[in-house]
Amino acid sequence: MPARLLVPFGFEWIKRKVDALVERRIGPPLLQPVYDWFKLWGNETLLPDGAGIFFRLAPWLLFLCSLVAVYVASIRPPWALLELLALLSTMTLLKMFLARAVTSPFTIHGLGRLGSMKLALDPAFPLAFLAAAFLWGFDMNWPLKAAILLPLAVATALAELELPPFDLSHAKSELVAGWKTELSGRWLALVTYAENARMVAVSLMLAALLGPTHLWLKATLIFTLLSALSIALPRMHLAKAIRWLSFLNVLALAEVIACLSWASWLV
Amino acid sequence: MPKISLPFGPYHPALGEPEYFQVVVDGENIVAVDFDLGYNYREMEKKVLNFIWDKATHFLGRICGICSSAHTQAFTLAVEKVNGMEVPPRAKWIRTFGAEIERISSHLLWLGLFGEMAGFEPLFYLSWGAREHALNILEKFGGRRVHYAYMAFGGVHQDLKPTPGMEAELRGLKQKYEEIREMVMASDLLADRFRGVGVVTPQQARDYGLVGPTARGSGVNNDIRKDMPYNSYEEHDFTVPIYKGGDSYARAMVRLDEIRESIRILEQIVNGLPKGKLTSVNSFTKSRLGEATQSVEAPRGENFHFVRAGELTPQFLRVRPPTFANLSVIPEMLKGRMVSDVPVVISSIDPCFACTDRVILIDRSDKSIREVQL
Repeated sequence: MPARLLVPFGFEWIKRKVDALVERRIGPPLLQPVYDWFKLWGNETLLPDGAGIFFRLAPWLLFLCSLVAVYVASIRPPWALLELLALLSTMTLLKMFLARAVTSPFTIHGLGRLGSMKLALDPAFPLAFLAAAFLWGFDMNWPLKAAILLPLAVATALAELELPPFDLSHAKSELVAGWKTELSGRWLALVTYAENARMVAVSLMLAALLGPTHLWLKATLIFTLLSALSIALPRMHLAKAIRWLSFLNVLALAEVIACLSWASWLV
Repeated sequence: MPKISLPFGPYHPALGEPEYFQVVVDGENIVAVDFDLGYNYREMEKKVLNFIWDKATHFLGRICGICSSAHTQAFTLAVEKVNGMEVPPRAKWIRTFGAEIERISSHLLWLGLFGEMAGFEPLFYLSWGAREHALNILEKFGGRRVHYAYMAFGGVHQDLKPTPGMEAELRGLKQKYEEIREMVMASDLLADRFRGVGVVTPQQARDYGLVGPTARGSGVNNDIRKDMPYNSYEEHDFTVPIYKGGDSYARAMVRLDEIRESIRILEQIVNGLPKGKLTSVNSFTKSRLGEATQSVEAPRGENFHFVRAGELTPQFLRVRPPTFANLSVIPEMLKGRMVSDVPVVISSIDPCFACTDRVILIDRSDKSIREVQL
């Protein structure tokens, strides 16, 4: 478990290196994410006026949920899939409560966007994972399985993880930091860690659904793919993002039916 | 749903400088927009009246870090008009060189910020990477990357010596510019953020008195370099890009095309710089009494200076920068749009608030502060 605590930092380093590669920069050294996190932890933590108790509690709960999510995701599916989906939904709810605990127009707007994105996405994301779960256990080579399952799973994962082009709930140029606007110091450090760990958990789960071998290698590749896509795509307009998510729902349903039929045929 | 006021400013990631836009929203839809100026007021037009002529020129370069040259050129040209000074042809070409490299530097800076506003960070880094070439050329030519003080009354202080290093920088700039242009044109997802957003019709552009790329993006042919030529613009072969779409995409394309035209002008200058003196006067300490106006085409549009010259110092100065003309159309552009469009629309006019905030009144009785619209 203690080693798993450090995993999100390693993956964050990969993300920052991928960002730098696309932007033709050098990127940070290996321990930079750890240093940055502890520096953030040591910064002054400000409590906004009128912030409720939940504002103080939610970052810790998010942090704990993310730890459990990484742990659960590294246990082989399909048994952990439902637990992970429940944890991810719990984390979204916690973020909503966190945003509601303060009365800033930016957090309120971020909350609204988070809610509408989650509602639009909710069937597609679990369905994309469910489709992968149907094929789990069958003797197929994992690159073939990845070619079939990954496009939709990655697209929905980008939206679930609030990464570009679906980073509308905390769009910097529009809402400052959206639902995260009022966080500072150690609360922001906890939430940042939780966000990274969530991305690792989703990558691990997707990797595990592709087959039982080379789990960490596959998770790293999937994480790198998510990072590369998120830096290479511009943020979508809200109206367009909602339309896209609706389209993903249809695709996810079609994929579930196709995978279920295929699985029955293989049996 | 209750209406909420979203404060874009005075400090907001969508704004490079402090200014305040009050955006009233109903859900995600914008209901009303208002803005308030004055957060960058530095009393420059008053302070400059205490400076002797040479110092005044350098001081006015500090109005803005990005279009420093546009302010010093407008001021110097106005004072030269009052004194009937002739400027040697070489100096005129060098002034044009300074103005155009500044235009490239400003447009690339804007392009990076425009990408950032649309949530596309790589464009920011690539544009600013290309801008390094422009800044290196400025450093080689003017001695500094910003606030390059090459302007002098009757000519220029610094000579332009096209070295292999400078030519290599120009080639690097051209190559990177073409890469960036290709990337912007190829990305439909990026173009979707700009197309049909913040539309200004040609009639609105004329009614609001828009200037520069903001006007040219609405099909209004308005460029001081062609309409009232100064420096050596009459001697160069270049076109003024005009797009009729009137949206943020059209304004972006105008600026992108302008970079290409500016590179063309720079190449003409490097290859055909006339020989001769740098200045027609040795020193300028006393002016004739009189007043004059001068407009120059700054990167953001027409930059207008009115100067009343005293003997040793300016007696009166009024600056009307391009952003002041363009800012008033923002509420019109945002009418009926969504919150997602606010940063794109604001940055599409390439606002420079440091240039814009000129006059502020403080009422001593109740300590209220009021921006004066000139």
